[in-house]
Amino acid sequence: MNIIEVSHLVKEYKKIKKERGLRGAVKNLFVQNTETVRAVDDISFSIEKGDIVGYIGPNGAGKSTTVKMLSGIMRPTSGEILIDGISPQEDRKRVVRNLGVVFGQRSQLNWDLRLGETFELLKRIYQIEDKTYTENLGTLNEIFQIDRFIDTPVRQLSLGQRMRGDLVAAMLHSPEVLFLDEPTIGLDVEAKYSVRKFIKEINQRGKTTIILTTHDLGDIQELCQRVIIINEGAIIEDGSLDELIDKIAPYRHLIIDFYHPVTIPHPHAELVSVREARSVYRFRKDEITAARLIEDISHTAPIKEVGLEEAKIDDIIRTVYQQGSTCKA
Amino acid sequence: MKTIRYYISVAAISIRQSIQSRLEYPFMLIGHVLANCIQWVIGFATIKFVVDQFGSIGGWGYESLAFLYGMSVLSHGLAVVFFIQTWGMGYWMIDGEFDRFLLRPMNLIFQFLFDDFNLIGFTDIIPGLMVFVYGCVKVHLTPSFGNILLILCTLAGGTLIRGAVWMFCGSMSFWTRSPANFTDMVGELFERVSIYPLTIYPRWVQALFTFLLPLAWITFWPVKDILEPEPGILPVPMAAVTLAVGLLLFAGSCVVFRAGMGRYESAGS
Repeated sequence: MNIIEVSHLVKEYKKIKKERGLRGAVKNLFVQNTETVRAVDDISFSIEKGDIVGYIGPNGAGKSTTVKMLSGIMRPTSGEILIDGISPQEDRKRVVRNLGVVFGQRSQLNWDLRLGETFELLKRIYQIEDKTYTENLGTLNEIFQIDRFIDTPVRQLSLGQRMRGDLVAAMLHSPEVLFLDEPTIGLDVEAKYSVRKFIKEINQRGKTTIILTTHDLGDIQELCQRVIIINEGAIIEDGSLDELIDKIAPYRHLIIDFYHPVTIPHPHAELVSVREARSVYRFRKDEITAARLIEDISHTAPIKEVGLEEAKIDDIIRTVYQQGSTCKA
Repeated sequence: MKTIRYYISVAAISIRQSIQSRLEYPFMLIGHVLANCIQWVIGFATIKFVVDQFGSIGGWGYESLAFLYGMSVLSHGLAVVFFIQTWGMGYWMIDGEFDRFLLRPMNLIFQFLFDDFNLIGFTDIIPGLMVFVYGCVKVHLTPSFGNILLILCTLAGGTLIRGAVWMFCGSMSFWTRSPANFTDMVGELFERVSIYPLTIYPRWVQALFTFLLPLAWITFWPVKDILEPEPGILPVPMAAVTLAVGLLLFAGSCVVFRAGMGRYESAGS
């Protein structure tokens, strides 16, 4: 069953063009040059219950705008959103009761008070029963060890602790859907690891459906079964990461060091460089496996060392972004 | 009924936490107590000085003026307690602070009003109460049930009028997209109109503040009615009119706020 349905979503806003200097400023008072920009341009997708979907794209692609419309903060110019069958624009209260949202650049925690106070406020707001509250907090604490800083004022928490606090705050009422907008932004390796672990766990334990926007492709690799890539407001790719890699970068490189300089061609791999005793082969992984290639070559000459290079995920995504821009331009 | 109990329980914890937040910064609180006590007491001392020199202000002796002044500072303090958020609405809008409310399953105006129950307002209420009690004694007001009811109506109505006008001004930011609003300017206006008797102004100004921009109802008309009732002008006490004007303006400001929220576009990318 699809828990999130988005069809033909459009968000337009007016961009004001200003003229130069004082003369321009006075002129702008009377004549304004506005230009309508489509931040989100006819986006449609649906997400099944229990999925973790990575929603990625370059800066200004329209990711946050989409998340804000999905969570009912912004009104779409046109198009329809259904979260569990309800439109957030029509029945905001009912939708948000079943929704958790975390903006990595923002916090919903009370800056002045100890972390636990915000949780108690949320307990009342979401009318969480005492028993459920204790249970949920216990479970979330198991993953995150927040009790080490639950009595610290939020203003004294580190960024990593604050983010954990925000994630727990968003999950206290056990929502079925969770939107995370750059949850790992600015975090160190350790904090990133624990945020990813948290996302995995809550997804597995409660079948929480998660939409994740991020610039950290490590997040995507570790967490997402599916990625939706948008650029300039439109979806340019939608599928699993593996499919995407196969499509954009079907080649792998095998680096072989021999004992002596040799040149050994192979029918299923292209010999891209030979430098002294080192040869580099390029092959498609659907044509031949690396093991087979090594075996074949080792029949001809003894091999000293091998190395295998995958296409870097960053490069793949960069390629996708660039293709996206060029096909629109 | 269940909904009301739910909202009360959230209001209670919000108020408790707002007070806790203010207590995190005790020196700021003490500073406000001192500053506001000095400001309002000296303010009244100036009025008394003028009266001692000239006999009266707008036909009012200093006893009645103390009563009027005290009433005004009290409703100012109460308005600051409940409506201070309106002063920063423009910044809230620009920084996308309303996002938080939109993500929670509660009424937006309720969340907005109870987000910051401002303890600092009590630093106005303390000197206000001092001058007010002094005034009550000097005008020999009988502490009857009727008088207390009239005073409470006036305070409630006055607080609502002030809060509603602030909310109108603050909501303008939704349209102007600018953090600047006129809350501080109307604050000045409230003072001019509610601390001094309206009779010091020309008739057209009196009419303006009675009918068009009904700020004279914050203190002047109900206080005048309490001190020297003139039956026959209106079928109800002026304090009841104040309360009605307050409720009406507040309802209107809620409508404007809601309309403004409809235009709210969050912040950032």
